[in-house]
Amino acid sequence: MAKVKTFKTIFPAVSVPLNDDYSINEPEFRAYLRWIKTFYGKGMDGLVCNGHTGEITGLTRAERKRVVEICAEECGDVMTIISGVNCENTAESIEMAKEAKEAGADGILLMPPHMWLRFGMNPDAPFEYVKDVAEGADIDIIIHLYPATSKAFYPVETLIKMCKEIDHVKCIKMGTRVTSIYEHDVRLLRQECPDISLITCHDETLCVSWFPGMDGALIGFAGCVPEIICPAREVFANPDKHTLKEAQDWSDRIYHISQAIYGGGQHQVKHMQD
Amino acid sequence: MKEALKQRGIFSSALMRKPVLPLNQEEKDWVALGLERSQLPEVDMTQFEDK
Repeated sequence: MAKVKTFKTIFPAVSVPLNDDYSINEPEFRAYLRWIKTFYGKGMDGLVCNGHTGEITGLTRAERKRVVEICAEECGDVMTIISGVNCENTAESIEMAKEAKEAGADGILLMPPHMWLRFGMNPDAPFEYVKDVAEGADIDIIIHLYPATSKAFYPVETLIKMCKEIDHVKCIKMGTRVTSIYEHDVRLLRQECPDISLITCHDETLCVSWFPGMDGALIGFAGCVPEIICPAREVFANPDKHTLKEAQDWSDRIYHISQAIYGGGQHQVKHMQD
Repeated sequence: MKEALKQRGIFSSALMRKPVLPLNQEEKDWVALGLERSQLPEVDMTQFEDK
């Protein structure tokens, strides 16, 4: 069967196992990807490598490319392969996007430069950044939207402009994390850009974040417990065929491991609360 | 996340590059309890390993 590239699915952000010397454990990584691939056709038709869960900031540029190659070799015949790109300047972001494409990626997850978290940015900079990378690397893009509480958050007007004016923008990973802004922006994006895939990245409140009618998810969580994420997704993707009770039951089951891993928030929050 | 993958038998190690530090025993127990309560058993990975 011919591969169908999709942005409307669950993308597990895959982890990368390490050997004791901190090198990538390639045999174990391949076995892990083969397991992930068994969920293809069950709601998980793509994967993201080099995301934050995949420790992108801890990998060298060569390792990031190698990770894409392995993912493409193991799963790229049927699954949509997306690689994270995280860089501090446009020119190198384009080079990294090109490397991901050469290695077999069908698209990139474009993260904001870290310096924007610290200093904020010119309001026009995010649009120019995404446009330059899209055109420079000629590759489809998932916008990585950072939390509304961060200085690197993109206002919805900026997202709409990206979606309408940059053909390569196919999807937004909605990481808003402020529910009122999240629902407002999802509804407005649906109205203004109906063809754009909107997927949640709220691992810690997954089912709640699916309620506005999302096209999928991009979450590290799905690379760890896909057996409960995929059937839960089926309920929210086809609400006419299911009941609210089913949705609540899946949410209840997911809750315990979600709390254990995310502690009610993002990584390390538990440490900060202690 | 990696600790959960290890406890499920998917990864052999939860190692991450420094400056990330390993979880303490209390945190590992918390992950184990979460897996148990969410009814997530170990995965048999032998079928996915290189032959």
